[in-house]
Amino acid sequence: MIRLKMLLKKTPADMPVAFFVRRDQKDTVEVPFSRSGYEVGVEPAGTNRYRIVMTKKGAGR
Amino acid sequence: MNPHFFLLSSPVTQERLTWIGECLRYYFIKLNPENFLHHAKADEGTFTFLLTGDALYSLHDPATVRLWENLLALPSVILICDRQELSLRGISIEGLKRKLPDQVIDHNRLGINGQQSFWNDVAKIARQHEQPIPSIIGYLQLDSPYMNRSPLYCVKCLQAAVEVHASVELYAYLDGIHCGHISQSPSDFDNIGDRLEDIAEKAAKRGLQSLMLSCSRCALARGYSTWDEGEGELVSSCTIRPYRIRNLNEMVERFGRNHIILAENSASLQIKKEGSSSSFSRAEPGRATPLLILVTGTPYGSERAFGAVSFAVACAGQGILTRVVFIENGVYCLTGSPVPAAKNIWFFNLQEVIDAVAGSADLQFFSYQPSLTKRGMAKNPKMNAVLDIGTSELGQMLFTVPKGHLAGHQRVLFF
Repeated sequence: MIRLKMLLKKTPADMPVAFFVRRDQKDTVEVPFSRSGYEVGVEPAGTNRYRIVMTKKGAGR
Repeated sequence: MNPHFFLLSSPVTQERLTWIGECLRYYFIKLNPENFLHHAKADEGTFTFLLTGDALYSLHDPATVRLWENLLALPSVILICDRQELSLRGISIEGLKRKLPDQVIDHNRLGINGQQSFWNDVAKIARQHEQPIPSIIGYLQLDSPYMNRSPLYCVKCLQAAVEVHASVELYAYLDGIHCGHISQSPSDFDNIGDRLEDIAEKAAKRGLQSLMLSCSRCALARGYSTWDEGEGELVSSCTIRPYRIRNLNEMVERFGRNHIILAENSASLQIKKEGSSSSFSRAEPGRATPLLILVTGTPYGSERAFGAVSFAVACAGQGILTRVVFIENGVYCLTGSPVPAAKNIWFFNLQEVIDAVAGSADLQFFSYQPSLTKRGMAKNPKMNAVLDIGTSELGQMLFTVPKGHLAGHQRVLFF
């Protein structure tokens, strides 16, 4: 979570951030970040593996 | 009911006793002046200091004894000492007892087994708080056994909790996860793993719950976990049976409830609210027990400071009002301008971490100015997410929560 927050802090607002997570990590990313200003896309990418794409809400408009 | 208590096991410095004393003075003079003139009734306004371990040396050192005497001169302050640990260290508190016989106690409470133990006093106080039935007493353990004595205090506390018929919860974090390693076989110490298993067994026999959660991030780092693809849960072949390795959020979810959670150095401070009760479900917004984390150690020598911030982020993520105060040596987390961590993302610069997580809902950071002043240092001016506070603000933070929060008490954890 902290490493992700640091990464998001350094990433320009209009640039999506994509990464793979396990199921337990997905749970700690999907809901909290959806509530705090991010569009969070989740796609299954294998057993216990998910691809997450996060974009700051309102970015690029 | 004991409205406020501190449990202190680590060395208590002059600096720590000074700020605690000043905060208590703030409580009595600013928040409860009526108690300053007239001693509080037996069941309200009482501060109990529970001292064990190396904290007891502060009753021997003349410089800290003087500060204890000042503290005990305040209304309704009681000091309960661990008799066994005093004897082990050869510390005499007879002088202090002669001066303040009603306030300095070293005759510990008898347990069901007929033996006196300081932890019976602790469990009684923690159990006395108003809380939903069945009662729960939790313990956050940060240190590993044998190198440290604190795991022994943890098991003694949980054992005493079961004796007063409370369900028990252990939260093993950072090196605390080592307490649950299997096949511990110390030749000269109590076996912590065996004692935890005994506690789980005794709790079950009495119809009580015992929950032993350890943080998955800490467990992974220390080689405990293997990934079970089928179950989607971290499992380990090297932990005792009652241990569960879980995501930190699962552990922190328990902190949203209102039971007493102790730690090596911790406090529980009642928040007086008219017309509200501390018996409530966590689900209602603003009712999760707020948390005050005191970061007291230097940032890079151990994982504690980072662990504190990580824990705070997780708590805030669960909707728990979490305030982090950098105090004592913790202010070193905020000083200087550390060189950016370059491309090595595995090296955490704590100031970058704070900067990244600041602004999260329910998470606030503060620096205690007197600690900076004492060290002749100033906070890095770029750390504007961390607000400077003095003694009054710290006192206010300890005994009040912002409007809208309805919890009956606040947890204080020293990292």
